[in-house]
Amino acid sequence: MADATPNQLFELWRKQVEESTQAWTRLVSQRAPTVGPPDPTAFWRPVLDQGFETWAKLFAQTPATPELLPQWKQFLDQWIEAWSKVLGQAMGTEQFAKLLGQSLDQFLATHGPLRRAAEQQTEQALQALQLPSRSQVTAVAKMIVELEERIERLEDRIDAALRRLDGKEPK
Amino acid sequence: MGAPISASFIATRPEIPVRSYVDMAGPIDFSKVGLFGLWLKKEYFNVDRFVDTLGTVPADLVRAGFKLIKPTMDLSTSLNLWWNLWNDQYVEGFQALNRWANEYVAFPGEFFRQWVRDFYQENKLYRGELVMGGRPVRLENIACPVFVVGAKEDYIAPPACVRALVDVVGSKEKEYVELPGGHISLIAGRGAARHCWPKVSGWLALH
Repeated sequence: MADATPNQLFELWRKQVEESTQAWTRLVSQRAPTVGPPDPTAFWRPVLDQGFETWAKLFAQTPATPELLPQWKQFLDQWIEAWSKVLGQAMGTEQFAKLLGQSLDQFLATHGPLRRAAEQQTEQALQALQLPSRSQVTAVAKMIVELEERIERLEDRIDAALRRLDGKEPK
Repeated sequence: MGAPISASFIATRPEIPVRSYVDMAGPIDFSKVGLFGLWLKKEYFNVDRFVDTLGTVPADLVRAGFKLIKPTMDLSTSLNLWWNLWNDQYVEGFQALNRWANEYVAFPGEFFRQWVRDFYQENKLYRGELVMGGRPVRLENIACPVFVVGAKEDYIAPPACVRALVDVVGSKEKEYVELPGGHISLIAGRGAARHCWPKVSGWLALH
C-alpha cells in the first residue's frame, strides 16, 4: 500500500463507496419487497459519478502534494452530502415510515412485558418498605392539579360576580 | 416546540400584555413539517401504545429520532472538527454548541402523547381545533406585532411550516424572513451572530 499511486488509492476508495451504497440499496430492497422500494441508485449515482470524475481528474493531473489533503476533504464532504441526500430520499417515503412503525411496534412488544415485570417488582419492594410507589405519587399529583383547576374556576366565578356587583354599585 | 406552545398561550390569553412576538424556527402548520410529520402519521405510529408501554419517553429514544432524521450529521460534524482541530476559535464554538445540541431530555409520557397527537397527527393548532387550559386556541387572536424567522436548511421545522404563522395571526404588523442555517445553527454559533441576531434585535428595536 505504501507504494500505491494516488490513482490506485482512489480506485480502492471508489470501489468501497460503490459496494457500501449498493449493499445499503440491497438491504432496503430486501426489507421492503412489496410496495415499490425506494431506488436511491438513480438519485445518488449522478452526484457521486460527478464527484468521482472530478476527483479522478485531480489525481491524474496532480501528483501527491500538500494540496492533496484539502482535495480529499472536499471529496469526503461531497460523499457525505451524496449519502445524506440518498438517505433523505429513502427515509421520506411512506414505505420507510411504515417500516419504522413496524420496528417500533416490535421494540414495544419486547419492552412492554419487561417493563411491566420490573414495575411490579418495584411496587412490591416499595410496599414492603412502606414507601409510596410512582403510581401513588402520580395519583396524588393528579388530585392536586384537579384541585388547582377547581380553585381557578372558583376564582374566575368570584371575579365575575365581583365585577357584576361593582357595575351595579353606581346605580 | 417553544413557539407553538407560546403562540398557543398568547392566543388564549389576550389579557396578558405581550408587546411583540418572535417565532424562530418554530413549527406552526404541522402538515408541512417534513420527515417527523411523515414518521409520526397515525397509520404508522401508535402514540397511545408507545406511551402506555414506555410511560416516560427515554432521552435515548428522543436522541435516536433526532439522529435518524439526519444520519450523516455526526459524521460530517466529526470530519469538520478533525479538519479544524488546530483552529481554537472553531473548537471553542464546537464544544459550546455540540454539548448543548446533544443533551437530550426525556419526554413526560402524557405531554408526548398530546404533543404528537394534537400537533403532529391532527395539526390542531393550525386548524384552530386545539384547546389549551380549557380555552380554544385561535391563532387569529394574536394581535401584537409578529416576527417569524425560518431557517433555509431546517429539516426539523422546514420554512413552510414556520412561515404559516404570518398567514394566520390577526396582527397588522407581521413579517417573515428566511435566513441561512438549520434548526440550531439559525440561533447559535457564528453564523447566527452574523445573519440572525442583528435582524431580530433590529426588529425588536422597532417594535
